[in-house]
Amino acid sequence: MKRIKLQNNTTTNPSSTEKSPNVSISIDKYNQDLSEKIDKFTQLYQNPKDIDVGSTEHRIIKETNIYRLLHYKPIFKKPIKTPILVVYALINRSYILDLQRDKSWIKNLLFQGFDVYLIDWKPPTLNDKYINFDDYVNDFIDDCVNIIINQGSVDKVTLHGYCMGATMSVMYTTLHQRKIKNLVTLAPVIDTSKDLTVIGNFGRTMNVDRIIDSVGNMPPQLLRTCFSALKPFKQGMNKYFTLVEHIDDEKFVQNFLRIEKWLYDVPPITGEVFKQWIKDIYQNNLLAKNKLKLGSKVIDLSKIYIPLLNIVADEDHLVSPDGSAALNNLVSSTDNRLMRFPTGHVGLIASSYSQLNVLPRMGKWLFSRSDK
Amino acid sequence: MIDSVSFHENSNIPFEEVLKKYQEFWKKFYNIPKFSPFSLTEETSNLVRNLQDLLLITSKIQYFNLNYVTQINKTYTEALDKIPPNNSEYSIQSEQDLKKYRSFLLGTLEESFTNLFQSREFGVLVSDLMGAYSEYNKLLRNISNTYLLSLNLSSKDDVDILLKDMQELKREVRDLRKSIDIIMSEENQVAK
Repeated sequence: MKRIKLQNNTTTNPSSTEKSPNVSISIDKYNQDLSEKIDKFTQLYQNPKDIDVGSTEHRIIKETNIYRLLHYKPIFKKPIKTPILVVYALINRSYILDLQRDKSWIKNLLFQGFDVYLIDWKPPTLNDKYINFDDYVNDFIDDCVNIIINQGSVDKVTLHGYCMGATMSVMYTTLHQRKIKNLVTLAPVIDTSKDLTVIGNFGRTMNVDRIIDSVGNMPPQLLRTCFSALKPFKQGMNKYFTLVEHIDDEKFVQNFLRIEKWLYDVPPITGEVFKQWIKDIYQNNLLAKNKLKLGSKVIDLSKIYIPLLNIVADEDHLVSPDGSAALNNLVSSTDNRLMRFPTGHVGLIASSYSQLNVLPRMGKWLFSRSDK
Repeated sequence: MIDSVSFHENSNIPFEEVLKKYQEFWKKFYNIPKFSPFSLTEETSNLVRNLQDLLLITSKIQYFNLNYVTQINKTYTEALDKIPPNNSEYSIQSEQDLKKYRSFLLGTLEESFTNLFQSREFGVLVSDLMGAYSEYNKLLRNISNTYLLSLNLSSKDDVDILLKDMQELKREVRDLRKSIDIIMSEENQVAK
Protein backbone atom coordinates (compact mmCIF):
# COMPACT_ATOMS: atom_id res chain seq x y z
CA MET A 1 0.00 0.00 0.00
CA LYS A 2 1.36 3.43 -0.91
CA ARG A 3 0.91 6.43 1.34
CA ILE A 4 0.77 10.10 0.56
CA LYS A 5 1.89 12.48 3.28
CA LEU A 6 0.59 15.99 3.77
CA GLN A 7 3.55 18.18 2.79
CA ASN A 8 3.79 20.82 5.46
CA ASN A 9 7.52 20.48 5.88
CA THR A 10 9.89 22.49 3.70
CA THR A 11 12.48 19.75 3.52
CA THR A 12 10.16 17.36 1.74
CA ASN A 13 9.80 19.57 -1.28
CA PRO A 14 12.86 21.75 -1.98
CA SER A 15 11.38 23.24 -5.13
CA SER A 16 8.66 25.02 -3.14
CA THR A 17 10.84 26.56 -0.46
CA GLU A 18 9.38 30.07 -0.79
CA LYS A 19 5.80 28.94 -0.49
CA SER A 20 6.23 26.46 2.31
CA PRO A 21 5.49 28.60 5.43
CA ASN A 22 2.11 29.57 3.97
CA VAL A 23 1.46 26.04 2.88
CA SER A 24 2.21 24.82 6.38
CA ILE A 25 -0.17 27.35 7.95
CA SER A 26 -2.85 26.59 5.41
CA ILE A 27 -2.73 22.83 5.88
CA ASP A 28 -2.48 23.12 9.67
CA LYS A 29 -5.52 25.38 9.77
CA TYR A 30 -7.37 23.03 7.45
CA ASN A 31 -6.55 20.11 9.73
CA GLN A 32 -7.71 22.04 12.80
CA ASP A 33 -10.98 23.08 11.13
CA LEU A 34 -11.50 19.56 9.92
CA SER A 35 -10.95 18.14 13.36
CA GLU A 36 -13.59 20.49 14.82
CA LYS A 37 -16.01 19.60 12.08
CA ILE A 38 -15.48 15.89 12.61
CA ASP A 39 -16.31 16.40 16.30
CA LYS A 40 -19.58 18.08 15.32
CA PHE A 41 -20.29 15.29 12.84
CA THR A 42 -19.75 12.66 15.54
CA GLN A 43 -22.06 14.52 17.91
CA LEU A 44 -24.69 14.75 15.19
CA TYR A 45 -24.72 10.99 14.70
CA GLN A 46 -24.58 10.24 18.41
CA ASN A 47 -27.51 12.55 19.19
CA PRO A 48 -29.74 12.51 16.11
CA LYS A 49 -32.41 15.20 16.10
CA ASP A 50 -35.97 14.60 14.98
CA ILE A 51 -36.18 14.80 11.24
CA ASP A 52 -39.46 15.87 9.73
CA VAL A 53 -40.53 14.29 6.43
CA GLY A 54 -43.80 13.97 4.52
CA SER A 55 -45.15 17.29 5.75
CA THR A 56 -47.55 18.13 2.90
CA GLU A 57 -51.09 18.22 4.22
CA HIS A 58 -53.10 15.08 3.50
CA ARG A 59 -55.79 12.83 4.84
CA ILE A 60 -55.88 9.06 4.96
CA ILE A 61 -58.66 7.73 2.76
CA LYS A 62 -58.14 4.07 3.58
CA GLU A 63 -55.78 2.14 5.80
CA THR A 64 -55.18 -1.61 5.88
CA ASN A 65 -52.34 -3.70 7.29
CA ILE A 66 -50.63 -3.43 3.87
CA TYR A 67 -51.10 0.17 2.74
CA ARG A 68 -52.45 3.64 3.42
CA LEU A 69 -54.15 5.58 0.64
CA LEU A 70 -53.33 9.26 1.10
CA HIS A 71 -55.18 12.17 -0.51
CA TYR A 72 -53.23 15.43 -0.57
CA LYS A 73 -55.10 18.65 -0.02
CA PRO A 74 -55.31 20.39 -3.41
CA ILE A 75 -53.74 23.85 -3.61
CA PHE A 76 -56.43 25.18 -5.91
CA LYS A 77 -60.17 25.18 -5.25
CA LYS A 78 -60.83 23.46 -8.55
CA PRO A 79 -57.98 21.07 -9.31
CA ILE A 80 -57.52 19.29 -12.63
CA LYS A 81 -60.32 16.75 -12.85
CA THR A 82 -58.30 13.64 -13.71
CA PRO A 83 -56.69 12.57 -10.44
CA ILE A 84 -53.16 11.18 -10.20
CA LEU A 85 -52.56 8.01 -8.22
CA VAL A 86 -48.89 7.72 -7.29
CA VAL A 87 -47.75 4.13 -6.80
CA TYR A 88 -44.60 4.05 -4.77
CA ALA A 89 -42.08 1.17 -4.77
CA LEU A 90 -41.87 -1.61 -2.17
CA ILE A 91 -38.25 -0.59 -1.49
CA ASN A 92 -37.65 2.13 1.14
CA ARG A 93 -40.54 4.42 2.09
CA SER A 94 -42.79 6.70 0.08
CA TYR A 95 -41.91 9.93 1.92
CA ILE A 96 -38.99 10.42 -0.50
CA LEU A 97 -41.70 11.90 -2.75
CA ASP A 98 -42.47 14.48 -0.08
CA LEU A 99 -39.11 14.72 1.61
CA GLN A 100 -38.90 18.44 2.21
CA ARG A 101 -40.89 21.48 1.27
CA ASP A 102 -38.66 22.79 -1.54
CA LYS A 103 -37.97 19.38 -3.07
CA SER A 104 -41.34 17.69 -2.74
CA TRP A 105 -42.50 15.82 -5.82
CA ILE A 106 -46.05 15.72 -4.44
CA LYS A 107 -46.15 19.42 -3.57
CA ASN A 108 -44.92 20.39 -7.01
CA LEU A 109 -47.73 18.40 -8.65
CA LEU A 110 -50.24 20.10 -6.34
CA PHE A 111 -48.87 23.51 -7.32
CA GLN A 112 -49.31 22.54 -10.96
CA GLY A 113 -53.01 22.08 -10.19
CA PHE A 114 -53.24 18.31 -9.99
CA ASP A 115 -55.34 16.26 -7.55
CA VAL A 116 -52.87 13.81 -6.02
CA TYR A 117 -53.28 10.48 -4.22
CA LEU A 118 -50.46 8.24 -3.00
CA ILE A 119 -50.25 4.58 -2.02
CA ASP A 120 -48.01 4.42 1.02
CA TRP A 121 -47.01 0.77 1.43
CA LYS A 122 -46.61 -0.36 5.03
CA PRO A 123 -43.85 -2.77 6.09
CA PRO A 124 -45.16 -6.33 5.73
CA THR A 125 -44.98 -8.75 8.64
CA LEU A 126 -44.18 -12.45 8.49
CA ASN A 127 -47.92 -13.11 8.27
CA ASP A 128 -47.85 -11.37 4.87
CA LYS A 129 -45.09 -13.44 3.34
CA TYR A 130 -47.37 -15.16 0.81
CA ILE A 131 -48.63 -11.87 -0.61
CA ASN A 132 -47.46 -11.69 -4.21
CA PHE A 133 -47.62 -9.28 -7.16
CA ASP A 134 -51.09 -10.57 -8.02
CA ASP A 135 -52.28 -9.25 -4.63
CA TYR A 136 -50.46 -5.94 -4.90
CA VAL A 137 -51.69 -5.27 -8.43
CA ASN A 138 -55.14 -6.85 -8.63
CA ASP A 139 -56.15 -6.31 -5.05
CA PHE A 140 -54.46 -3.33 -3.39
CA ILE A 141 -53.81 -1.03 -6.37
CA ASP A 142 -57.18 -1.93 -7.88
CA ASP A 143 -58.94 -1.12 -4.59
CA CYS A 144 -57.24 2.28 -4.50
CA VAL A 145 -58.16 3.04 -8.12
CA ASN A 146 -61.78 2.08 -7.43
CA ILE A 147 -61.92 4.26 -4.32
CA ILE A 148 -60.57 7.30 -6.21
CA ILE A 149 -62.93 6.75 -9.13
CA ASN A 150 -65.93 6.51 -6.81
CA GLN A 151 -64.87 9.40 -4.62
CA GLY A 152 -63.88 11.77 -7.39
CA SER A 153 -66.81 10.97 -9.68
CA VAL A 154 -64.42 10.26 -12.53
CA ASP A 155 -64.16 7.16 -14.67
CA LYS A 156 -60.39 7.17 -15.08
CA VAL A 157 -57.24 8.12 -13.21
CA THR A 158 -53.66 8.84 -14.21
CA LEU A 159 -51.44 6.08 -12.87
CA HIS A 160 -47.98 7.31 -11.92
CA GLY A 161 -45.39 4.87 -10.57
CA TYR A 162 -41.80 5.12 -9.42
CA CYS A 163 -39.19 2.35 -9.72
CA MET A 164 -40.80 -0.94 -8.62
CA GLY A 165 -44.06 1.04 -8.28
CA ALA A 166 -43.73 1.96 -11.96
CA THR A 167 -43.33 -1.70 -12.84
CA MET A 168 -46.47 -2.53 -10.85
CA SER A 169 -48.30 0.36 -12.56
CA VAL A 170 -47.38 -1.11 -15.93
CA MET A 171 -48.67 -4.53 -14.82
CA TYR A 172 -51.89 -2.94 -13.57
CA THR A 173 -52.44 -1.00 -16.79
CA THR A 174 -52.26 -4.12 -18.97
CA LEU A 175 -55.04 -5.72 -16.93
CA HIS A 176 -57.30 -2.75 -16.01
CA GLN A 177 -56.74 -0.28 -18.82
CA ARG A 178 -60.32 0.94 -18.95
CA LYS A 179 -59.75 2.69 -15.60
CA ILE A 180 -56.53 4.44 -16.62
CA LYS A 181 -56.34 7.66 -18.60
CA ASN A 182 -52.56 8.14 -18.71
CA LEU A 183 -49.61 6.07 -17.56
CA VAL A 184 -46.57 7.96 -16.26
CA THR A 185 -43.60 5.83 -15.25
CA LEU A 186 -40.41 6.92 -13.52
CA ALA A 187 -37.43 4.56 -13.81
CA PRO A 188 -39.45 1.36 -14.27
CA VAL A 189 -37.72 -2.03 -14.22
CA ILE A 190 -38.78 -3.61 -17.52
CA ASP A 191 -36.14 -5.30 -19.69
CA THR A 192 -33.51 -6.75 -17.37
CA SER A 193 -31.49 -8.26 -20.23
CA LYS A 194 -30.25 -4.68 -20.71
CA ASP A 195 -29.47 -4.25 -17.02
CA LEU A 196 -25.76 -3.75 -16.31
CA THR A 197 -26.11 -2.61 -12.70
CA VAL A 198 -24.63 -4.24 -9.61
CA ILE A 199 -28.17 -5.00 -8.41
CA GLY A 200 -28.88 -6.72 -11.71
CA ASN A 201 -25.74 -8.83 -11.28
CA PHE A 202 -26.67 -9.84 -7.72
CA GLY A 203 -30.23 -10.55 -8.84
CA ARG A 204 -29.18 -12.81 -11.69
CA THR A 205 -26.91 -14.94 -9.49
CA MET A 206 -29.10 -15.07 -6.38
CA ASN A 207 -30.59 -18.35 -5.17
CA VAL A 208 -33.71 -16.57 -4.02
CA ASP A 209 -35.74 -19.68 -3.14
CA ARG A 210 -33.13 -20.80 -0.65
CA ILE A 211 -33.00 -17.38 1.01
CA ILE A 212 -36.74 -16.80 1.19
CA ASP A 213 -37.52 -20.33 2.33
CA SER A 214 -35.38 -19.70 5.38
CA VAL A 215 -36.21 -16.07 6.23
CA GLY A 216 -39.84 -15.70 5.05
CA ASN A 217 -39.66 -12.09 3.92
CA MET A 218 -36.59 -10.47 2.36
CA PRO A 219 -35.02 -8.87 5.45
CA PRO A 220 -33.93 -5.19 5.44
CA GLN A 221 -30.35 -6.01 6.41
CA LEU A 222 -29.87 -8.17 3.30
CA LEU A 223 -31.42 -5.49 1.12
CA ARG A 224 -29.13 -2.87 2.65
CA THR A 225 -26.13 -5.13 1.95
CA CYS A 226 -27.07 -5.16 -1.73
CA PHE A 227 -27.65 -1.40 -1.85
CA SER A 228 -24.33 -0.69 -0.14
CA ALA A 229 -22.56 -2.10 -3.20
CA LEU A 230 -23.97 0.72 -5.33
CA LYS A 231 -21.39 3.48 -5.79
CA PRO A 232 -19.79 2.63 -2.43
CA PHE A 233 -17.15 5.36 -2.56
CA LYS A 234 -18.38 8.21 -4.76
CA GLN A 235 -21.71 8.21 -2.97
CA GLY A 236 -21.41 5.89 0.01
CA MET A 237 -18.27 7.51 1.40
CA ASN A 238 -17.86 10.85 -0.32
CA LYS A 239 -21.19 12.09 0.99
CA TYR A 240 -19.81 11.99 4.54
CA PHE A 241 -16.80 14.09 3.51
CA THR A 242 -19.22 16.57 2.00
CA LEU A 243 -21.33 16.54 5.16
CA VAL A 244 -18.29 17.24 7.33
CA GLU A 245 -17.35 20.15 5.07
CA HIS A 246 -20.87 21.63 5.36
CA ILE A 247 -21.49 20.69 8.99
CA ASP A 248 -22.08 24.35 9.97
CA ASP A 249 -24.74 24.81 7.30
CA GLU A 250 -27.94 23.89 9.16
CA LYS A 251 -30.06 23.65 6.00
CA PHE A 252 -27.55 21.36 4.30
CA VAL A 253 -27.35 19.14 7.37
CA GLN A 254 -31.14 18.85 7.65
CA ASN A 255 -31.46 17.95 3.96
CA PHE A 256 -28.67 15.43 4.32
CA LEU A 257 -30.27 13.81 7.35
CA ARG A 258 -33.62 13.52 5.61
CA ILE A 259 -32.08 11.58 2.73
CA GLU A 260 -30.04 9.53 5.19
CA LYS A 261 -33.16 8.66 7.19
CA TRP A 262 -34.87 7.52 3.99
CA LEU A 263 -31.85 5.48 2.81
CA TYR A 264 -31.77 3.48 6.03
CA ASP A 265 -35.54 3.17 6.34
CA VAL A 266 -35.76 -0.13 4.47
CA PRO A 267 -38.81 -2.30 5.18
CA PRO A 268 -38.78 -6.02 4.38
CA ILE A 269 -40.28 -7.21 1.09
CA THR A 270 -42.76 -10.07 1.19
CA GLY A 271 -41.10 -13.37 0.35
CA GLU A 272 -43.35 -14.18 -2.60
CA VAL A 273 -42.96 -10.75 -4.18
CA PHE A 274 -39.21 -10.92 -3.81
CA LYS A 275 -39.11 -14.37 -5.42
CA GLN A 276 -41.16 -13.12 -8.38
CA TRP A 277 -39.09 -9.96 -8.62
CA ILE A 278 -35.79 -11.85 -8.79
CA LYS A 279 -36.79 -15.02 -10.64
CA ASP A 280 -39.44 -13.78 -13.06
CA ILE A 281 -38.19 -10.29 -13.71
CA TYR A 282 -34.39 -10.29 -13.17
CA GLN A 283 -33.45 -13.90 -13.96
CA ASN A 284 -35.99 -14.83 -16.65
CA ASN A 285 -36.92 -11.36 -17.93
CA LEU A 286 -40.56 -12.47 -18.26
CA LEU A 287 -42.03 -8.96 -18.18
CA ALA A 288 -40.19 -7.85 -21.32
CA LYS A 289 -41.01 -11.19 -22.97
CA ASN A 290 -44.74 -10.71 -22.27
CA LYS A 291 -44.75 -13.96 -20.31
CA LEU A 292 -45.09 -12.75 -16.72
CA LYS A 293 -48.13 -14.24 -15.00
CA LEU A 294 -50.11 -12.69 -12.15
CA GLY A 295 -52.44 -15.40 -10.94
CA SER A 296 -53.93 -16.83 -14.11
CA LYS A 297 -53.43 -13.66 -16.17
CA VAL A 298 -50.49 -12.98 -18.47
CA ILE A 299 -49.00 -9.47 -18.53
CA ASP A 300 -48.80 -8.53 -22.19
CA LEU A 301 -47.27 -5.06 -22.54
CA SER A 302 -48.36 -4.81 -26.17
CA LYS A 303 -51.93 -4.46 -24.88
CA ILE A 304 -51.17 -0.99 -23.51
CA TYR A 305 -52.57 1.62 -25.88
CA ILE A 306 -53.25 4.59 -23.58
CA PRO A 307 -50.90 7.65 -23.53
CA LEU A 308 -47.57 6.72 -21.98
CA LEU A 309 -44.87 8.99 -20.60
CA ASN A 310 -41.77 7.10 -19.55
CA ILE A 311 -39.17 9.11 -17.60
CA VAL A 312 -35.68 7.70 -17.29
CA ALA A 313 -32.55 8.86 -15.45
CA ASP A 314 -29.42 8.41 -17.55
CA GLU A 315 -27.16 8.18 -14.50
CA ASP A 316 -29.37 5.69 -12.69
CA HIS A 317 -27.12 3.04 -11.10
CA LEU A 318 -30.00 1.15 -9.48
CA VAL A 319 -32.29 0.64 -12.47
CA SER A 320 -30.54 0.45 -15.84
CA PRO A 321 -31.80 3.36 -17.99
CA ASP A 322 -31.80 1.22 -21.14
CA GLY A 323 -33.84 -1.44 -19.35
CA SER A 324 -36.41 1.23 -18.42
CA ALA A 325 -36.45 2.89 -21.83
CA ALA A 326 -37.32 -0.46 -23.43
CA LEU A 327 -40.92 0.04 -22.25
CA ASN A 328 -41.67 2.54 -25.01
CA ASN A 329 -40.91 -0.06 -27.66
CA LEU A 330 -42.98 -2.77 -26.02
CA VAL A 331 -46.34 -0.97 -25.77
CA SER A 332 -48.84 -0.23 -28.55
CA SER A 333 -49.61 3.35 -27.47
CA THR A 334 -49.47 5.81 -30.34
CA ASP A 335 -49.16 8.67 -27.83
CA ASN A 336 -45.89 7.36 -26.48
CA ARG A 337 -43.13 9.55 -25.09
CA LEU A 338 -39.73 8.86 -23.57
CA MET A 339 -37.97 11.60 -21.58
CA ARG A 340 -34.36 11.09 -20.46
CA PHE A 341 -32.65 13.27 -17.88
CA PRO A 342 -28.95 13.43 -16.94
CA THR A 343 -29.49 12.59 -13.26
CA GLY A 344 -29.59 9.59 -10.90
CA HIS A 345 -32.31 7.36 -9.47
CA VAL A 346 -33.05 9.55 -6.43
CA GLY A 347 -32.06 12.80 -8.14
CA LEU A 348 -34.89 12.13 -10.58
CA ILE A 349 -37.52 12.61 -7.88
CA ALA A 350 -36.00 14.39 -4.88
CA SER A 351 -33.68 17.15 -6.01
CA SER A 352 -33.64 20.76 -7.09
CA TYR A 353 -32.84 19.43 -10.55
CA SER A 354 -36.06 17.44 -10.70
CA GLN A 355 -38.07 20.45 -9.48
CA LEU A 356 -36.61 22.64 -12.21
CA ASN A 357 -36.33 20.20 -15.09
CA VAL A 358 -38.31 16.98 -14.69
CA LEU A 359 -41.55 18.07 -13.04
CA PRO A 360 -42.36 21.06 -15.30
CA ARG A 361 -41.98 18.92 -18.43
CA MET A 362 -43.92 16.04 -16.95
CA GLY A 363 -46.67 18.41 -15.73
CA LYS A 364 -46.98 19.99 -19.16
CA TRP A 365 -47.32 16.58 -20.83
CA LEU A 366 -49.89 15.45 -18.28
CA PHE A 367 -51.90 18.68 -18.22
CA SER A 368 -52.66 18.44 -21.94
CA ARG A 369 -53.90 14.86 -21.50
CA SER A 370 -56.06 15.33 -18.41
CA ASP A 371 -59.73 16.29 -18.12
CA LYS A 372 -59.93 19.83 -16.75
CA MET B 1 -9.47 -8.07 -12.75
CA ILE B 2 -11.59 -10.74 -11.11
CA ASP B 3 -10.56 -13.39 -13.65
CA SER B 4 -7.05 -13.48 -12.25
CA VAL B 5 -8.27 -14.16 -8.73
CA SER B 6 -9.05 -17.63 -7.44
CA PHE B 7 -11.97 -17.87 -5.07
CA HIS B 8 -10.46 -20.94 -3.46
CA GLU B 9 -6.98 -19.76 -2.64
CA ASN B 10 -7.95 -18.86 0.89
CA SER B 11 -8.23 -22.26 2.46
CA ASN B 12 -5.22 -24.41 3.20
CA ILE B 13 -7.34 -27.57 3.12
CA PRO B 14 -9.88 -28.04 0.32
CA PHE B 15 -13.39 -27.40 1.59
CA GLU B 16 -14.63 -30.87 0.58
CA GLU B 17 -11.95 -32.48 2.74
CA VAL B 18 -12.97 -30.46 5.78
CA LEU B 19 -16.53 -31.66 5.35
CA LYS B 20 -15.37 -35.24 4.92
CA LYS B 21 -13.32 -35.08 8.13
CA TYR B 22 -16.32 -33.85 10.10
CA GLN B 23 -18.52 -36.58 8.73
CA GLU B 24 -15.95 -39.26 9.47
CA PHE B 25 -15.56 -37.95 12.98
CA TRP B 26 -19.28 -38.27 13.74
CA LYS B 27 -19.83 -41.47 11.78
CA LYS B 28 -19.06 -43.67 14.78
CA PHE B 29 -21.99 -42.24 16.69
CA TYR B 30 -24.45 -43.09 13.94
CA ASN B 31 -23.40 -46.72 14.09
CA ILE B 32 -24.60 -47.11 17.68
CA PRO B 33 -27.79 -49.22 17.61
CA LYS B 34 -31.05 -47.46 18.46
CA PHE B 35 -33.27 -50.44 19.36
CA SER B 36 -34.43 -51.89 22.67
CA PRO B 37 -31.67 -51.74 25.33
CA PHE B 38 -29.89 -49.06 23.27
CA SER B 39 -32.97 -46.93 22.66
CA LEU B 40 -31.77 -44.09 24.84
CA THR B 41 -28.95 -43.46 22.38
CA GLU B 42 -31.46 -42.22 19.80
CA GLU B 43 -31.76 -38.83 21.49
CA THR B 44 -27.97 -38.53 21.62
CA SER B 45 -27.76 -39.48 17.99
CA ASN B 46 -30.23 -36.72 17.05
CA LEU B 47 -28.27 -34.17 19.06
CA VAL B 48 -25.04 -35.28 17.44
CA ARG B 49 -26.59 -35.04 13.98
CA ASN B 50 -27.83 -31.50 14.72
CA LEU B 51 -24.44 -30.53 16.03
CA GLN B 52 -22.73 -31.97 12.99
CA ASP B 53 -25.04 -30.06 10.66
CA LEU B 54 -24.38 -26.86 12.61
CA LEU B 55 -20.64 -27.39 12.33
CA LEU B 56 -20.88 -28.04 8.61
CA ILE B 57 -22.92 -24.92 8.00
CA THR B 58 -20.78 -22.67 10.17
CA SER B 59 -17.72 -24.02 8.32
CA LYS B 60 -19.37 -23.07 5.04
CA ILE B 61 -20.13 -19.61 6.39
CA GLN B 62 -16.53 -19.17 7.46
CA TYR B 63 -15.28 -20.42 4.09
CA PHE B 64 -17.44 -18.06 2.05
CA ASN B 65 -16.75 -15.18 4.42
CA LEU B 66 -13.01 -15.63 4.05
CA ASN B 67 -13.33 -15.64 0.28
CA TYR B 68 -15.51 -12.56 0.46
CA VAL B 69 -13.05 -10.67 2.66
CA THR B 70 -10.16 -11.78 0.44
CA GLN B 71 -11.87 -10.34 -2.63
CA ILE B 72 -12.56 -7.06 -0.86
CA ASN B 73 -8.98 -6.79 0.45
CA LYS B 74 -7.47 -7.71 -2.91
CA THR B 75 -9.55 -5.16 -4.73
CA TYR B 76 -8.73 -2.52 -2.15
CA THR B 77 -4.97 -3.13 -2.39
CA GLU B 78 -5.01 -3.33 -6.18
CA ALA B 79 -6.88 -0.04 -6.33
CA LEU B 80 -4.41 1.66 -3.99
CA ASP B 81 -1.54 0.41 -6.16
CA LYS B 82 -2.94 2.58 -8.92
CA ILE B 83 -2.49 5.71 -6.81
CA PRO B 84 0.66 7.57 -7.88
CA PRO B 85 3.42 8.22 -5.30
CA ASN B 86 3.73 11.41 -3.32
CA ASN B 87 6.18 13.23 -5.57
CA SER B 88 3.79 13.04 -8.53
CA GLU B 89 1.08 15.43 -9.66
CA TYR B 90 -0.91 14.51 -6.55
CA SER B 91 1.60 15.97 -4.12
CA ILE B 92 -0.54 17.73 -1.53
CA GLN B 93 0.29 21.31 -0.61
CA SER B 94 -3.07 22.96 -0.28
CA GLU B 95 -6.69 22.26 0.53
CA GLN B 96 -7.42 22.20 -3.19
CA ASP B 97 -4.74 19.53 -3.70
CA LEU B 98 -6.26 17.51 -0.90
CA LYS B 99 -9.70 17.62 -2.48
CA LYS B 100 -8.26 16.74 -5.87
CA TYR B 101 -6.40 13.81 -4.36
CA ARG B 102 -9.47 12.64 -2.45
CA SER B 103 -11.57 12.73 -5.58
CA PHE B 104 -8.94 10.74 -7.47
CA LEU B 105 -8.64 8.21 -4.65
CA LEU B 106 -12.38 7.67 -4.38
CA GLY B 107 -12.71 7.46 -8.15
CA THR B 108 -10.02 4.77 -8.34
CA LEU B 109 -11.56 2.77 -5.51
CA GLU B 110 -15.01 3.14 -7.03
CA GLU B 111 -13.89 1.84 -10.40
CA SER B 112 -12.15 -1.20 -8.92
CA PHE B 113 -15.00 -2.11 -6.59
CA THR B 114 -17.68 -1.60 -9.21
CA ASN B 115 -15.75 -3.98 -11.50
CA LEU B 116 -15.67 -6.50 -8.69
CA PHE B 117 -19.37 -6.12 -7.80
CA GLN B 118 -20.37 -6.39 -11.45
CA SER B 119 -18.44 -9.62 -12.00
CA ARG B 120 -20.43 -12.84 -12.17
CA GLU B 121 -17.98 -14.64 -9.87
CA PHE B 122 -18.52 -12.13 -7.11
CA GLY B 123 -22.29 -12.32 -7.60
CA VAL B 124 -22.10 -16.10 -7.18
CA LEU B 125 -19.97 -15.71 -4.05
CA VAL B 126 -22.50 -13.29 -2.51
CA SER B 127 -25.27 -15.70 -3.40
CA ASP B 128 -23.33 -18.58 -1.76
CA LEU B 129 -22.76 -16.52 1.36
CA MET B 130 -26.42 -15.54 1.63
CA GLY B 131 -27.34 -19.14 0.92
CA ALA B 132 -25.13 -20.37 3.75
CA TYR B 133 -26.80 -17.94 6.18
CA SER B 134 -30.15 -19.21 4.95
CA GLU B 135 -29.14 -22.82 5.53
CA TYR B 136 -28.07 -21.90 9.04
CA ASN B 137 -31.47 -20.27 9.74
CA LYS B 138 -33.28 -23.23 8.28
CA LEU B 139 -31.36 -25.68 10.43
CA LEU B 140 -32.07 -23.68 13.59
CA ARG B 141 -35.72 -23.71 12.62
CA ASN B 142 -35.70 -27.47 12.10
CA ILE B 143 -34.08 -28.00 15.48
CA SER B 144 -36.58 -25.73 17.23
CA ASN B 145 -39.46 -27.47 15.41
CA THR B 146 -38.49 -30.74 17.12
CA TYR B 147 -38.85 -29.13 20.55
CA LEU B 148 -42.03 -27.26 19.65
CA LEU B 149 -43.67 -30.55 18.70
CA SER B 150 -42.70 -32.16 21.97
CA LEU B 151 -44.29 -29.17 23.76
CA ASN B 152 -47.50 -29.65 21.75
CA LEU B 153 -46.96 -26.32 19.94
CA SER B 154 -47.38 -25.68 16.23
CA SER B 155 -44.18 -25.71 14.27
CA LYS B 156 -43.20 -22.94 11.85
CA ASP B 157 -44.04 -25.26 8.97
CA ASP B 158 -47.57 -25.78 10.34
CA VAL B 159 -48.04 -22.01 10.64
CA ASP B 160 -46.72 -21.55 7.09
CA ILE B 161 -49.31 -23.93 5.70
CA LEU B 162 -52.04 -21.95 7.46
CA LEU B 163 -50.71 -18.62 6.21
CA LYS B 164 -50.51 -19.89 2.66
CA ASP B 165 -54.06 -21.24 2.79
CA MET B 166 -55.32 -17.97 4.24
CA GLN B 167 -53.72 -15.95 1.47
CA GLU B 168 -55.24 -18.23 -1.17
CA LEU B 169 -58.64 -17.89 0.48
CA LYS B 170 -58.28 -14.10 0.48
CA ARG B 171 -57.59 -14.22 -3.26
CA GLU B 172 -60.65 -16.36 -3.87
CA VAL B 173 -62.81 -13.96 -1.85
CA ARG B 174 -61.34 -11.01 -3.81
CA ASP B 175 -62.12 -12.68 -7.15
CA LEU B 176 -65.64 -13.57 -6.00
CA ARG B 177 -66.22 -10.01 -4.80
CA LYS B 178 -65.10 -8.61 -8.13
CA SER B 179 -67.27 -11.04 -10.08
CA ILE B 180 -70.27 -9.97 -7.98
CA ASP B 181 -69.43 -6.29 -8.62
CA ILE B 182 -69.38 -6.91 -12.37
CA ILE B 183 -72.71 -8.75 -12.28
CA MET B 184 -74.27 -6.00 -10.14
CA SER B 185 -73.09 -3.24 -12.45
CA GLU B 186 -74.39 -5.14 -15.49
CA GLU B 187 -77.75 -5.60 -13.80
CA ASN B 188 -77.86 -1.92 -12.93
CA GLN B 189 -77.23 -1.00 -16.54
CA VAL B 190 -79.98 -3.37 -17.73
CA ALA B 191 -82.36 -1.88 -15.15
CA LYS B 192 -81.60 1.64 -16.40
